[in-house]
Amino acid sequence: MKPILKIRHLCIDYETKRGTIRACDDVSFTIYRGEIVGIIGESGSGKSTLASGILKIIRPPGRIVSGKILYYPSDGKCVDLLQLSVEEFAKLRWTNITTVFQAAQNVLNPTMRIRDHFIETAQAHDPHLSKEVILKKAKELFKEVRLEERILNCYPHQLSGGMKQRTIIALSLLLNPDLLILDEPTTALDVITQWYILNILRRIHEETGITMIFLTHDISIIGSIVDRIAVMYCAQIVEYGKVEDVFLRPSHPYTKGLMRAVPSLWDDTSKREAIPGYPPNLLSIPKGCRFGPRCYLARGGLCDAEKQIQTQMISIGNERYSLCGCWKQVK
Amino acid sequence: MELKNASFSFEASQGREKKKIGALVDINLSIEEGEIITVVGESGCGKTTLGKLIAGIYKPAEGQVLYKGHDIWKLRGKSFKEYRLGVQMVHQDSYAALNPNKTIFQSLSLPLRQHKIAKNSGQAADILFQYFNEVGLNPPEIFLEKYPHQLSGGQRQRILLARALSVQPKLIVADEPVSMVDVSLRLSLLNLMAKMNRKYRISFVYITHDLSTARYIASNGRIMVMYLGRQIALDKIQHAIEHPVHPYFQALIKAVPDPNPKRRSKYAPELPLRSLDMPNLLDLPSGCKFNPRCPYCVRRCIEEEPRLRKLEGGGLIACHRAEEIMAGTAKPQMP
Amino acid sequence: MKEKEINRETERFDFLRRSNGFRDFASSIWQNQLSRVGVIILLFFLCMAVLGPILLKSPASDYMDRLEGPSSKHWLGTDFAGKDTLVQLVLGSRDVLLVAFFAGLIAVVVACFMGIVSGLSGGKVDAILMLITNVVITIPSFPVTMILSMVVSIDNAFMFGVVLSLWSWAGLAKAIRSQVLVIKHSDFIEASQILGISKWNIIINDVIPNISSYIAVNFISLMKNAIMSSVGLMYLGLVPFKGNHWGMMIQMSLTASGALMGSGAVVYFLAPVVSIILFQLGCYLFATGLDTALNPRLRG
Repeated sequence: MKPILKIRHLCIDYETKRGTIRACDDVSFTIYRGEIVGIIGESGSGKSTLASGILKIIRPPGRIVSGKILYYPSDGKCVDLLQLSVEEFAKLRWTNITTVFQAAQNVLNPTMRIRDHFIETAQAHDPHLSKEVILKKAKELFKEVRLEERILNCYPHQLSGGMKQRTIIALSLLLNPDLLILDEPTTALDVITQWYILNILRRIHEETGITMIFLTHDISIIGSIVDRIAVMYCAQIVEYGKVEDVFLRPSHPYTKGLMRAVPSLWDDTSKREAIPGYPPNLLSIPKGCRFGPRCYLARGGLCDAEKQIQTQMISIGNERYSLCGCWKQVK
Repeated sequence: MELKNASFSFEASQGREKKKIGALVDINLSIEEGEIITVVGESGCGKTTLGKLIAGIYKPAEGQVLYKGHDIWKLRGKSFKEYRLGVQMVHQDSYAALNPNKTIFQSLSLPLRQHKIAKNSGQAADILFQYFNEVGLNPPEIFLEKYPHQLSGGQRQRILLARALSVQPKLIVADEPVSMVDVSLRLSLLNLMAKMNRKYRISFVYITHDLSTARYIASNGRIMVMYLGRQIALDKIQHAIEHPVHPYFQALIKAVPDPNPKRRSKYAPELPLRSLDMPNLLDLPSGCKFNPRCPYCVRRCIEEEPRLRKLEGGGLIACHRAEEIMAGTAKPQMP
Repeated sequence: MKEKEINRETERFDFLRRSNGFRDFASSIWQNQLSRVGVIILLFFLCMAVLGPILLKSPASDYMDRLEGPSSKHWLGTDFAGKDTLVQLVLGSRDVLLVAFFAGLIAVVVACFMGIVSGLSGGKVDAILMLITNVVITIPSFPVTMILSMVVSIDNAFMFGVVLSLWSWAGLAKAIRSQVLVIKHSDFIEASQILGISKWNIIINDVIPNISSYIAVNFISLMKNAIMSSVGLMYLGLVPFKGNHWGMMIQMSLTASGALMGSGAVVYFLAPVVSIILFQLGCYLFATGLDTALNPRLRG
């Protein structure tokens, strides 16, 4: 399996009136071509900052302090995205790396028809493309995302949330990228629309082999689409591995707590339990292990949280990594 | 609380015409003391409007909203005050539901002082301390002296609950109370509401689009499913989920993702729906509003709108072919 | 047990005392350097206005010393009648500030009433009130104020303030109405309704605090404009105002002393003009900090 993106020791800070917040702390992992990776994290975990970092849309008061993001295009040499200039990166954006944001965010220009969005995006990268060629591709993509062709002539306000999301997915695939980053793509949508979006993404993945990075806090969708999963907590990746392994045999108490805290439609409700405590305040990170104050192992005396200092993820075999020193005791 | 043939509509202009959008059509519901009932449906189905109708924010265009047998829009004076304090609401967006320019204490002590539940600030503080302890915000002073923007979403949601509890209501309408809260904290909030239901016998109307949390909180209660402003199913929640009858509800159940990756292959390859999108609210189909998407649609479904009726085996369904679907004799037709 | 109860009591009252909005407001204004300067300037003028007439007596005319430039005896020189300029400036400040304050206050009260009632009521009430407001906005204010000042007898600072405010509230009323429309449908106002809070309390506790920074900033600018208008009216001789007033000083300096014609009385002209500019600067600088100070989210 060839890698497509390698993130090494990425650190991103935000300056605030009350101090510096490290939103991403020494994040490292590898994504291989053709796989679907899910990054799970709640508020304050750093996953949105990570996505912004990869896309180089971090603006002051945030800044990338150190690290490398190595991108391996299919036909060229590897390149460090953080070293590229604005123009060089602009060439890669949309032709190689594209994004789909949360449906609630207004990425569509309300004064332009949908078809003009396609034309403008395509011509921004290649001014010689003709309108007919672009619209032909748009119509093919619309078939993929199960939208009617007439939508091309509509304005964004005439579309529902689900339709807008499908339009944005079609737009992101316009220039045949090889990496698609989706930030909470189904969060503001209802269950049936969510099902269709996931179904469309699965089919696109089967047909084109595009690599996808899925950022979400919704664990219930990871089981249905993702191959490999990274769990983030308090600006760090706490666990990383194949989704079956992580879900069925978690190796970090946070992951385990998360799986237990989310009710599903068929489980035994009496076995559900919330994670105690509150999400961490990034201005006052707990000493030692960041999950310590909420960890059932620490509370049960099986682990001395303050003394745990893990700077590197531990490899626990079968391409799995964990940040928990007591991972063997997570059952 | 009882709703009798309640209807509510919004006005919208399409070009030069003013059209009425039926946000709620002919709703009949009775809520017992101490009951938890969940209202489930997609966005646009009218569940939030229903909540506001119960809370007395919207007045029904037709029909009645009754509290303890009396029409709430005809109440005056003391009996109106009884209703007003008796039915409270917890909003979805905890930040928007609090006055951004006042501290939590200033906001929450105002109703207590106005309704003479507390004679002065000192007494109000006492009462609020007690409720903050109940909802798990300890020590209370720290939260009371802050402004809303200084607290997290989960904390603010608990404050909304404490505020609703402080006037000692009999019914609380909770409109998507956990959708804007972190996933790991949702359960503790739901447990809290269930505890309040058992301890104080407060009825809850829990509005959500998330079937999993609905099932968790209302495990012994009922579920009401809505579609385009109409009630299409009303049943005990466990029974409804295990034996879904209405085609829309069947599709809804199939669409809920299961986090377990081992069951991925069993995740519905196709939803039993003929079309993806909901019809335009200004241009609804005739007969049953679900017919363009329903795989069991027959001629009767286009001509006549089904009424909510009792089925054998419990539950109320609004579907012409309910018995056939239950028996398994109806064949779905997909395009 | 009793000790614990007493401890709880003191804790509770401690917390009630600690929530002091005014202190937060004052410290925020002080921390902002621009508004700090503004406050100092305004306080200086306030002292002048309050203490001046108490400490100083009306200056004596001394025709021997007329039209002198600044000297050690008369810091800002004298006017055409030999009266000390500086003393006149100080004495005149009270009337100037009073007029500006009244004008601003009345305009704000009328604007609030029109804006809030119109925004909350909607329907016919809204339409009628907005019609009145639009008429007032469209007709230029200064000519109307001029006519009013000729028609209405202006004997004291309050009446002067009334006349100045009659045509200046409309813009603010419209802006307040827009703000009210925005927050009318907010969840927290809905929550207040569900909690049975009376309409009056909703206006006082929910609506006004959320438009207070708007009102305060506009109050300051209305005061600024009132000074200009009052001076303008006096210069045009339209206001037979008794008493010292900077506007009178400007008028007298230009008509009776020929200040701009090159006589030594140019200081007599400049003194009130510079004071007006300084006062307006103070208002403006103070207002820059007001928005932040009144909004707890921006205070940090």
